Amino acid sequence: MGYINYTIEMFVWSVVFGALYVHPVSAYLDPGAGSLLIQFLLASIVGVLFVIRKFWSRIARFIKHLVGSTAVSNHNKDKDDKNDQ
Amino acid sequence: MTSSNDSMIHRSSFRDPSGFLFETNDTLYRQVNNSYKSHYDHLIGSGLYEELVGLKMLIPHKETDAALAISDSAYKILQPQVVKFISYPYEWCFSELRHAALAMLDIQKIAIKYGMCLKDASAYNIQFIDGKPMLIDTLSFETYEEGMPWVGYQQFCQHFLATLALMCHVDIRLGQLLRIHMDGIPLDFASSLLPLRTYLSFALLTNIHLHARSQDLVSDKPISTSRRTVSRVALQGIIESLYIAVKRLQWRKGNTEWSDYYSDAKHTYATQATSHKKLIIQKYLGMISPKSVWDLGANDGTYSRLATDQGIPTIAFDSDPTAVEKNYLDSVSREDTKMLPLLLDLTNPSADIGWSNEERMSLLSRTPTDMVMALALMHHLVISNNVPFVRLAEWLSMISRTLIIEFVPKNDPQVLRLLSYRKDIFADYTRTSFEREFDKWFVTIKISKINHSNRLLYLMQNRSNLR
Repeated sequence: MGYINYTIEMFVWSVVFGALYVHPVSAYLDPGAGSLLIQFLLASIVGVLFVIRKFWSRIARFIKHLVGSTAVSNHNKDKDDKNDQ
Repeated sequence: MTSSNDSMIHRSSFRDPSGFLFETNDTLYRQVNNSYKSHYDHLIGSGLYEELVGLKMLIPHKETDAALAISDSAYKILQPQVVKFISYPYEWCFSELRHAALAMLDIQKIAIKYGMCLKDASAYNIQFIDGKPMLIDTLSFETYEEGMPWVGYQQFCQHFLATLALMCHVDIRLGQLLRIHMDGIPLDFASSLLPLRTYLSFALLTNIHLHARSQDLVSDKPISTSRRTVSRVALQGIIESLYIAVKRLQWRKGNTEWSDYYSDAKHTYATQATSHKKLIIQKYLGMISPKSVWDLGANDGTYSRLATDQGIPTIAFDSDPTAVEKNYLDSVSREDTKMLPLLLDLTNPSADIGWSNEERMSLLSRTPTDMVMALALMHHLVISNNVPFVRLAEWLSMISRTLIIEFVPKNDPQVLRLLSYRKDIFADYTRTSFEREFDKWFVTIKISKINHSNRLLYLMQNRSNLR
């Protein structure tokens, strides 16, 4: 729910900022004001997804490592507990 | 500097102030203007040009004599590789448009790595050369500035994504909307035609539906943008998401009248007749050795392949999107680089369209070809479309130097089928009449009867010397 609200909020702010500031893009092709706004919206969403995708193997390795070390430490903790008994 | 009297600026090359195409003494050149100097130098100096040309994604060129320039604003004069036949997006089947879209995004991804960006994304800048979609506009790149949004994004969505989505989710024939909407299908139009279920696709929801809404939202405001930027990572993310969206658009093959033509028992010749017909065509091709062949009404390219097997660049035209799609996918899997399957309704061929009717050429403006093959075609044009022999012969003589044409007699099962639902008003549909009318425009070189059928294959030479 929070994610949807964030998306709507980003879109609304993009429109508001678009109306307030004047900063023409120099290009022979009209990029279209609406197209720029939707790009700003997309940029905030897919940019994050792209980074996650790009570094997915590293993130996965990190999580695996994290879960693995937790599992190992739990395993060791169990062993220690048993030893204590 | 050459006199403008000796040169002719290409009539479709006027939008981009970076340069233009022109012809001098029948040779095509591209003038790069001073205003584009830094971008051109970056394209060459960064190694991007070399990489894209090496990957066969960008048309190669050589820098040539600057004295050929036709205006003072010239920085360089390029001589690009000539594209033998220019085809247009409304003549492509679904997979051709899809592959062209993916090629455009691949080029964009590589360009970003070299610090450049595509400044437009026109489908007309892609051409199929040796079976591969290739960018033909060398001036489409600009130096990338951090934070810059993609100026060609809207054009990409209109030319490619919206068209493909409509072809995929609504009707394959909607690709023909590109004939009317030359700068791609307006997104509000595409959004209104797409089914509600496409709102569930993130890519179509954002790039088409929300994109269309945002255009509506700011349509009455002065053209302005925010100072917010699109970071390089975000830009790469947008390109990647478009790439995935296009990849996911797969057209489920439908059965149309023609797509199963050769597998449908009622349409097929006896196997011996097919083999004999192929032998005759191969012999005729060997006699003429044409440099180019157009196969009109080619269906899935069964007979066009006889020409490409001999290394002859062949365009296989058909009006059925399924047949063209099948031919294209077969050609890709066979790595047949000589085949170019295209969509064309012979009863209404592509016209001169665009600004002053000069931007996109008609089929006739792209003629002549060395040879036309009109196999099992004439009865569809003469009987189904009421085109008299005289008009058919005249038109074929305008587009081709030589001709292989199959005469299908009135007692042929196919002709009988066409006449079974209508009154026979075709008293002139006879061999004598056919030969009389065609003789006005062509010299008959050879006639062969196809075994196990009543059909005849004619090899003809145009009486006039077409340039």
